[in-house]
Amino acid sequence: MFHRQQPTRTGSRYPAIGIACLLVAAYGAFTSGPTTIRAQQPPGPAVVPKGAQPLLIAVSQVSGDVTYTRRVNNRTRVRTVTLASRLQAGDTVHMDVGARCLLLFRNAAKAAANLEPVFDTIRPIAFRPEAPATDGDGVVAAVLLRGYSEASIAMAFERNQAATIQIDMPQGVARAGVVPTAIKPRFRIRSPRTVVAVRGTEIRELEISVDRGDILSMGRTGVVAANVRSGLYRSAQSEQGTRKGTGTDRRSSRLVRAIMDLTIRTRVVLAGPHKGRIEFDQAKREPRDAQSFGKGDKLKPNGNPKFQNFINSNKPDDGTGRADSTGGGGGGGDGGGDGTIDGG
Amino acid sequence: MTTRMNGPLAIAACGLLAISLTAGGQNARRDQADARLPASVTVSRKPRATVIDGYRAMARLARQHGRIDRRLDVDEMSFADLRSTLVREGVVDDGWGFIPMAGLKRDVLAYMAASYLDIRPGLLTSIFGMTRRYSYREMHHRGLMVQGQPRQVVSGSELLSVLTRVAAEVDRRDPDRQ
Repeated sequence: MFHRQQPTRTGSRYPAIGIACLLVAAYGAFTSGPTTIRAQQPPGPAVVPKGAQPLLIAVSQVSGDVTYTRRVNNRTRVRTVTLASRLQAGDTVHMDVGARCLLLFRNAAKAAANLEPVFDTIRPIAFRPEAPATDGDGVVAAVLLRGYSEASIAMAFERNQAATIQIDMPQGVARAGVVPTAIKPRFRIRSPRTVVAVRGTEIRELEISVDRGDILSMGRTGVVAANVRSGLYRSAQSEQGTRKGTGTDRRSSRLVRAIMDLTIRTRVVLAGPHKGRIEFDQAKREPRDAQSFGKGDKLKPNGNPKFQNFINSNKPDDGTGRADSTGGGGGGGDGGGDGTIDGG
Repeated sequence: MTTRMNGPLAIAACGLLAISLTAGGQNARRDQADARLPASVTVSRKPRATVIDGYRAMARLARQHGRIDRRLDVDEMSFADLRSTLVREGVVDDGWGFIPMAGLKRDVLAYMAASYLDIRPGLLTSIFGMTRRYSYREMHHRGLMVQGQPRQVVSGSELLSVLTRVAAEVDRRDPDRQ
């Protein structure tokens, strides 16, 4: 008798608890689901600091299926990227496999000034043996995204003549170039594992993937400084790179900004290309002849036509390490790009 | 059921209905936004890629490279059409009998990638054809895939990463394409 009456009494006395549980469960069931693109968006457009001017982000080349999403009035808008698209900080670019997209970050004032035609002024013609000025159209930096990439433009502004650009990439392949200025620009690409910053001119190639981790290749002339667990590491070797694995590291955190594993494709230690003596290949344990430069260009690889021809040849390394002796010198000098991986 | 409970139950039903309509509307808007993104974005969110995902992504890559007809709407093709297209292209073995929603294993993906890149290492492989096992070993050796279990089902992100490396390899072989 007692057992028959108990469920009836309980149900009639506390109906509100059951209803509340139902409501909470239903709300959770309806609102939780697979992560959509809306959930991955930043809460709103990036805020430009006081006194800063946002950079113009133009699309210079695009091929394949490329779209971008933008939060407008708490809604996500999806647009196809075309050459006429003008991106801004807070936008996220999504690319299909095999697509390519080249973004140019431009100074707003210089870009606008150059767009106006000037017919009635006489421009002086001066012969300069160097390359033409790269800031003629106000370009501050360029990023080439390839393959399947997701790139969110977190910051893109200029303040006190220094550009600050930050791109968040959970996955993808990117190449980046930065125009050097008197006040060094800040260019950073953040992945879930690492922060890659440009201190010089370029990131040769940065591959961010979930299976292989982050792989940074600096090409022939790059120099990488990485904060690893043994301390600050700086390399002046050619074709070197760094890698941060996807597995849990010793510090047990995926957000630790450090490079744990180091992969060096061609392990060449250079005595310096300007020194006319035998160099020693540390990887192959054999000496080899040094590349000789002109007497007037001992310390300046940029002034060496042989070096310039080699750098601009875009010829892949033949694996012999023969070509590396010139490249390493360029990286050590003022001509090479310099990527820095900031450690935590 | 007592009379006293009718009121709270009605309120609860109305609340549930309102919540479901609101959440459904949000989901509809999300789905609408996701539908306009590249198809690979949806694939990248999947923790487990399926065979039809792999076939479709590979067919999309082949279409972009001009190896199959560019007018083909790969996203709307049925599984049988996708399979026959890839078999004609030599990317997929004719003897495979996978169902569309089966998990895409690493060796299957390696076979498709190696066939797409026309990688045939060794004398026996060049004579008798590639197998999934040695495709995976070869792709791992070339750095296109990571080391692991060949029969492990790949995630959507890993599928896209491998295909991105395949596309980069095609670009590297043909610099004029860039």
